[in-house]
Amino acid sequence: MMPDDYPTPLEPQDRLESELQRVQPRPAQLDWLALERLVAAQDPSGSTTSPSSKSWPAPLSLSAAWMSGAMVGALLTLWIQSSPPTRPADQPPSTMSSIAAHDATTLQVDAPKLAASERMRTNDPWDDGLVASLDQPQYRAGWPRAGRLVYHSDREAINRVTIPRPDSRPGIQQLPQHQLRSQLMQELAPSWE
Amino acid sequence: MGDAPADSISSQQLRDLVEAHAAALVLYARQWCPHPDDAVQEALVDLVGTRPQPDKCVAWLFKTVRRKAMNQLRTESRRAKHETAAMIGRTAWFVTDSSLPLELDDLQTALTQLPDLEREVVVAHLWGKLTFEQIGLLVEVSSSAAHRAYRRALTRLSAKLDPTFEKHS
Repeated sequence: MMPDDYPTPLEPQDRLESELQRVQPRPAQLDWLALERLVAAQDPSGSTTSPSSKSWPAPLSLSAAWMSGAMVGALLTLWIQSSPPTRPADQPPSTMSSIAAHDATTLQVDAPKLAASERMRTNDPWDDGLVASLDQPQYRAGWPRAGRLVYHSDREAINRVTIPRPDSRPGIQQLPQHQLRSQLMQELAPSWE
Repeated sequence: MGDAPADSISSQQLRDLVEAHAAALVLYARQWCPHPDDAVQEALVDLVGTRPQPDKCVAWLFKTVRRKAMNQLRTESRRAKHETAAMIGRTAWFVTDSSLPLELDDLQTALTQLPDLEREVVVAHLWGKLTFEQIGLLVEVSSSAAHRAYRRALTRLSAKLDPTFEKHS
């Protein structure tokens, strides 16, 4: 007999089980565009569409910039394909299609500001692990999880962005963590308004 | 989408998979890591690049997400273990629904207090819709052991949630 066919006894927890089945997990917040791009790139027939692919930057250039070291300490401007903040940051899109539907505008974010935000999480955000994250497939597929930046204008999302080390933000680095976050949020907010 | 193996996954197949299973996959990954969406994203990227397409895509995704989440946990632990744990704990796992006769905060707390195996089995079966046979393969126990773990978990949850559950009934 298959385990899933075990007779289910009528126990108090069975009612709980049926109620638990009604509870919905929070929707996933994925970079659907990056996935579609990846599917399209692997489809030689080109039958899948890749929305607005022309306006996406080549992620390799950022990675290469890091590897060369030419942009260390420089003000790097990332043009990130993203959607406008039409919903509060704490309300994720309910479906992937809602992400794609809003994917029409660009978002400009200063890399040093994001870099400074990395300092909130770890004293040395420039370790190999973070830098290596740039080389992950999802980043190569479409730099860099842009939708999450908008829908999650919070520390978690920003922390996922890894960029060259800025050497010119001593004031920021000296702030306590909670103040640092507030300041960064203030500075970043106009970029997506 | 069907589970028939194919050479590569289509955009529509991927979309269907994500619509049907991504939320449960994120919940599953959330048990271990602070960035569960990333673990799921990476698993989907792997799926797109897998030739031929896995025989059982959903079960394959759960296994891959599990590995990604654990890898992420190890990396995070090296950086800031305490912060990782805090982030996992403070993120809401479920969609608020006032019609439910449950306090979702209590449910989340009760789930986090379950033994690891029981929590994993409950999430994989209740929300991931995996069979106990699939779960057994996932967590490397027999299917009957997975089923027993599930029943034990429900008993524990029932004991913890009964007060709030009854209040709404």
